[in-house]
Amino acid sequence: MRGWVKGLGTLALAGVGVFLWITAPQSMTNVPMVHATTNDIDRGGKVFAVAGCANCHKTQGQADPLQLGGGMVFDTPFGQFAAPNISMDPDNGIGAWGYAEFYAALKWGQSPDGRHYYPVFPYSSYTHISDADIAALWAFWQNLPAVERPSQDHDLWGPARLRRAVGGWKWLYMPDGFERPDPAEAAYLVEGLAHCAQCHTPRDILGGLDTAAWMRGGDNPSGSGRIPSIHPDDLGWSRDEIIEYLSSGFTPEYDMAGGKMADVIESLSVLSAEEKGQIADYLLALE
Amino acid sequence: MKLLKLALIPFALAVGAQGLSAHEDVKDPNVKERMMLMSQIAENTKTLGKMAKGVMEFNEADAKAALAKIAELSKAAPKAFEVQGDDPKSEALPIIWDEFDAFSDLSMTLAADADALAGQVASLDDLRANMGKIAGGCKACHSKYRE
Repeated sequence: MRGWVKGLGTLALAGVGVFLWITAPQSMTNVPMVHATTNDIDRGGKVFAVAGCANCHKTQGQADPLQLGGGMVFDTPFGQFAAPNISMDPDNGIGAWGYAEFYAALKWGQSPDGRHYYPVFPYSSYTHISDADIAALWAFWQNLPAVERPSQDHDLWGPARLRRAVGGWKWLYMPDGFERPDPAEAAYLVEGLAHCAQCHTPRDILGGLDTAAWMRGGDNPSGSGRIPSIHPDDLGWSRDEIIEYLSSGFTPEYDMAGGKMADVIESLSVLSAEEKGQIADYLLALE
Repeated sequence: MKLLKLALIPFALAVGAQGLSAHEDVKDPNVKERMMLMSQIAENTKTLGKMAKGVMEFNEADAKAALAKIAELSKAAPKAFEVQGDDPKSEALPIIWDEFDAFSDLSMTLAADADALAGQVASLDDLRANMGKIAGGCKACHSKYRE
């Protein structure tokens, strides 16, 4: 009997050990600082737009995409998430951060004090962003205004409150590479910066992307209704029609994009026609 | 001639049925009505879009008629949205009924723009120069009030 208890105790301890090991945060000393001093604000502005930062973080109740006071609420199966203030305000936003903290947030989904962010912040896509682009984005960020609005707390359902467990989510779902790596420029745009899959790919019970149904649409991860499939089997649009939609918002039937996608199209307006063509080619090549 | 017309009937029926089928599983009559209205706006915008892109030959009378129709439908839109209704197919956001006046104003702005253009557009260049205004009118409302 005692041996049995001891065995179970050892197993439990080992389990806790494995959990702690898997969910451990990254060390800030792992941040590569090689690009940290870049000054490419133009590129940073483009990254800002295509990555759609403002589409979730802009101060609610006003239209200026550079006011990043947050406040947008996301109703999910795990509870309500509230987009935080990520303006340059040192107290309410991220104005007190350095490049390393910014990098860790985007690339690893990790806060300056080593806590995991919830994956409602699409770092599982942003992890594809190149170090040079993160640095350019940070350079751009330096000129953004400070917004004083305090961030709200998330209101989450029981087990989802255990932030440390998000480390396990990362272990399960953080991508090693691109889902569809060819061509590289298109994958970088679609899977990285523009993070299309975050809404257009269905999620499993733990909120991970179901890569077997890549871009095939699913329940709206942040509210009611469904997000349409953009897989060519379902969409049936030509290359030109996709480019037209990404430019004017008009579908081939001259319906006009609405809701979050209207914001996305607005922010993708910084892309050249060639880059929109790359997105179309990526989608049309999906199997 | 009569033979030609007869031959066209199945075609016309098929096209008509297609237009209806998109909304046939919408149960709430209020929702159905406004979805049909929106589809008609899209149909007329499509005429303009195809002309602007050169897919369809520019025709002044048709362009003006499409613009006048868009104006007429946009004027009718707020009334079609008065009852919120309840249907899973509806993509109208509840905020419409929180700020119905602002919502109506956007529709009336599109109606006024389309009305003005219906009196002006005389050439393909006119249409191309103003296509953005129509698109902007659609977008202004959809980006705020549609899923």
